[in-house]
Amino acid sequence: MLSAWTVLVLFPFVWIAISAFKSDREIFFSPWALPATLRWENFVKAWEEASIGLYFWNSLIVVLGALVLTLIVSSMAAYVLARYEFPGNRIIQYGFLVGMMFPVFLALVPLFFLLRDLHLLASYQGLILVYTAYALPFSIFFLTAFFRTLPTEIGEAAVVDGASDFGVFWHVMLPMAQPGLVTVGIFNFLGMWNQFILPIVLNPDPERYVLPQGLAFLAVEKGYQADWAVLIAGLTISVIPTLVAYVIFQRRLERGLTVGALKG
Amino acid sequence: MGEHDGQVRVVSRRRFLGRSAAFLGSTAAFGILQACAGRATPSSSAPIASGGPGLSPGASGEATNPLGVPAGEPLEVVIFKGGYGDDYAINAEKIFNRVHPDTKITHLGIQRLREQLQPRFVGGNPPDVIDNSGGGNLDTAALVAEGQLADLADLMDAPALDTPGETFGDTLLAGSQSGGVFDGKQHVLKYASFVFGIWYSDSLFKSKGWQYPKTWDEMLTLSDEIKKAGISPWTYEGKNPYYFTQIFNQMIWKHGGMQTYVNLDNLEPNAWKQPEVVNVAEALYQLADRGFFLPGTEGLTNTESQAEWLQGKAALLPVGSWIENEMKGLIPDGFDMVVQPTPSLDASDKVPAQGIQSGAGEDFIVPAQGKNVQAGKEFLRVLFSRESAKFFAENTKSTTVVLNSTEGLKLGTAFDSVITAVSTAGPNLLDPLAGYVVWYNKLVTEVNNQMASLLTKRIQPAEFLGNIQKVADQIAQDPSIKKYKRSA
Amino acid sequence: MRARTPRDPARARRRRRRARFLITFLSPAIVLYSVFVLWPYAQSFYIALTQWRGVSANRTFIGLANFEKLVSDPNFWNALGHNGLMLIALPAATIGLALFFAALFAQGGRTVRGAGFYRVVFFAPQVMSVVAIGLIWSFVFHPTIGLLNGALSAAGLDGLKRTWLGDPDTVLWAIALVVVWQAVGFYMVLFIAGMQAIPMSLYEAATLDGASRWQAFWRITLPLLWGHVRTALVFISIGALDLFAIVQVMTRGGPNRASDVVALFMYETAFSFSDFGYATAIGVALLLMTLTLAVLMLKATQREHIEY
Repeated sequence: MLSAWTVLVLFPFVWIAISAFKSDREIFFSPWALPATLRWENFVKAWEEASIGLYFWNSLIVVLGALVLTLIVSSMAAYVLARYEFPGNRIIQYGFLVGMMFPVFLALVPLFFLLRDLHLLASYQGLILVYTAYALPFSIFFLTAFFRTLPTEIGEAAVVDGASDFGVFWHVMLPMAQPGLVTVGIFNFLGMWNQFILPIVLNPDPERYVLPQGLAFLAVEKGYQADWAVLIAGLTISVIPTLVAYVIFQRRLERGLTVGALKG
Repeated sequence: MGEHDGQVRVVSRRRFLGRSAAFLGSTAAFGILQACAGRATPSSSAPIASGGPGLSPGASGEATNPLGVPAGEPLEVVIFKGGYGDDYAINAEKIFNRVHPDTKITHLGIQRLREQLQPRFVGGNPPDVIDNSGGGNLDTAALVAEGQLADLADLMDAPALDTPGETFGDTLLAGSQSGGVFDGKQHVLKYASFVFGIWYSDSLFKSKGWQYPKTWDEMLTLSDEIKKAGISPWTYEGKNPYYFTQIFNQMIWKHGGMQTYVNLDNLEPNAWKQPEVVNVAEALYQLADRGFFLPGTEGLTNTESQAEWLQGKAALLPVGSWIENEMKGLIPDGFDMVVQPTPSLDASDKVPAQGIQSGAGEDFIVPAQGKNVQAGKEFLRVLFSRESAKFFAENTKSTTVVLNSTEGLKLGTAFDSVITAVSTAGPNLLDPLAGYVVWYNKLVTEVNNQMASLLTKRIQPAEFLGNIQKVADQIAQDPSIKKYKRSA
Repeated sequence: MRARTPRDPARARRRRRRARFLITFLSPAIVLYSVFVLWPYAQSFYIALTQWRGVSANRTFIGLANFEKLVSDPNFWNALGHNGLMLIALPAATIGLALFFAALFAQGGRTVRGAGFYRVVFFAPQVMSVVAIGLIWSFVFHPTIGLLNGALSAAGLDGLKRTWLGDPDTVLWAIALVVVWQAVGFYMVLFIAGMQAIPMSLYEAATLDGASRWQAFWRITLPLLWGHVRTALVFISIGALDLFAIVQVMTRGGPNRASDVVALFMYETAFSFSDFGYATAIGVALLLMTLTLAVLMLKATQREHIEY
């Protein structure tokens, strides 16, 4: 069972990595055979001619920007929602929660006009703000649960010592919340890195395309011109950062989930 | 620049005749001549009404600018970057700037036109000219219904850019633009010409001694023979059998004549139950019933089915003539692909067997709300020039609707067979991208969906047509969908 | 906050400071969320009440007519039926498999050899983009050169070969397999995290009582993990009501709508059929259904919270 699932999970990665070295004819006519020669040029073509390099950097800027902003904004809100009683607390929490259930299509056209009126179309800033806004429901939901599980004693001791609310948050709670932040960070990174629908509408400038847009672009273009090898090389390149990020942070991700203990 | 010799003569003659010539014939050669000489054209910035007098360069105001492109106003071009890429459009933009050097052109090559451009139409700031093509194209009929597309009448009547003495409209393949006419107005111009037909490997057929049939009975006999030889007779893009829908249309048109086909376009009551339509549906069903399809075809995309066909696993494939360009990396040497029209259903067919669907794709539109509508039209005048069309043919190995633009080009067996098919067809040409196919996306989607079921024997011909008729009736009764009519 | 005496000026000052703190910390999130999420959705509720082709600013208010159309639209019910099937199949398969693997790796602190390796590997599909997944799996399900049919042939099971994505009877299940394939690792990690928080002493006691691992799973693990399972259930169900991306990439709803889902039908209605008002109504209906389902599910699965 274990090995069956391992094969089922691993072979697509192996297959895509191997196919990236093949010619179009090999991909279509003998998809499960090994390549006759290793065509490194597929990667060079994908990175340079197909602009995967450009899309890659665009993605990195937008995703990292949105990630930092999401972590700051959501940890502040989640901390307050988890640790302070005030009128409207529950309503605000539910308000954020419903955001997880909205089909994104519903918002696309109004969102386009909003960004146009704010002069944020096809800009890094616009995408960063929108990515952040759409990451908030999950992030706040998760971090609120997380902050609730943290021991209160240390914070209270700090208050007795004269620390301000902000000081407690910054010097005491945030360091303790690190595993949770890492977990939220990873999930958002995966979601944002593969985000496809939002940039298609809000990011119409090919110079600013992010990776999923660029790959879809390539998929359509290469679909017409049967240059599948380059497309698959591009896909392979796009998988690497998420895979690396996951392998590096995997331990901490699990720890974040353990402490977070989503007891909804 | 030898081929411009004729134009030089024209220009000299015009100089002699003076301004009046500008009203009579082709004029744009002047701009090209100037560009060849490496000179800017000051006249291009002059508005049409104030072209200078006499024989000074300013005199050619009307000559180089019959559509009155405003000076110094920017132009935004959006091109669907699919099978043809967008090099040809960039080339046309260069020519445009030779004629109008002070027009700043913004070029955008994209693919998902719906998501990117629809909000701009809603917001009233669409680009000036669009190649509305590809799987994610905008619904032309809806755009027309909302008055979003400029009437291209003045462009059609304007002098052609580099064909002296002819209007723009004269230089286009006869009948190629009928699908772009809505309620009598030309709203769309199609660029890349193609035929829909049934393709096979000429070398395979020769080696087996097979003959492409003239009638459907012969087609069934041939299919049987192919099957006996251990090859699947047919395959098609099973997941979305749009090309089969087109074959279906071609056979309806031939069997029943144009009136039968137009009845479908016009959503006439029970049009899909006309006896001729029933006959064709039953004929197609035979292919499924006799097991003539490559097993598993219904799970293939267009590219996948074409790859199977190229490997010789299936003999016959319905598709359009872009196939050679689309699959160029995968075509085995000596495959020699050729196209033929659908066979006659029987002796009662109204259109001879050599009739074929010949149409054009890459739908160019000029948004009515664009900031520079006239420059958008002028871009099309440039793009559809012979010089630009020749570049397209060389660059994409495909033909355009522009007459006399491929002389001396060698483009392969597929291309040659297309030329033969069209010339054999003579006047018997059907535009596959006209009528219900472009007016009612909902209807053509339904035909494709039902076709998938018919060709896998999940429904019988009667149910197939009944289901389509139901949707046709719904559309006819739905006040939110704009209706169009045409006559045979 | 503890009870306060309003007259105490120091307290009042602290209250004001605290209110300022709360506002400063909450407002960035609320402003971003309201402007970029809530406000566009609020507008779509109005669009659902109009007839709008979506290609010009020209909209007509038609009240609830779009919703009436929805009720009698067989394509909508067809798509919704498929979402309904997925709503049963996906949570059952995903949670079942994820629990199984999690228990193997983490129940009672015990584990199998190479658990760390498996945990990394099983999560990996989560990092792949939908475009890549669609491409890979279409080669797996490919009727002639596909890996699945090839494997069946090799195993002498030619009778089981199918045109997986071209057959209305199998297409939904083929897609479901891909969704489960991608999701299992994520929920496995979630459950492992939960299991690691369960005190070991409980399992030791159970072992002393002669309980098998299987019994320990039902008596200890599952009840104590219930909060996690519930969260998973809600997340997977929300996902089962969407499925747009994967279906669009793999089948575009075909053959003949046999794998259509509501979100894809909505997309087709908006962009192919130029019926934006109606499409938005479909979206609003989908949203209301998702909300209702989430609330019902949370209520139905509510159990007394077990402290440990």
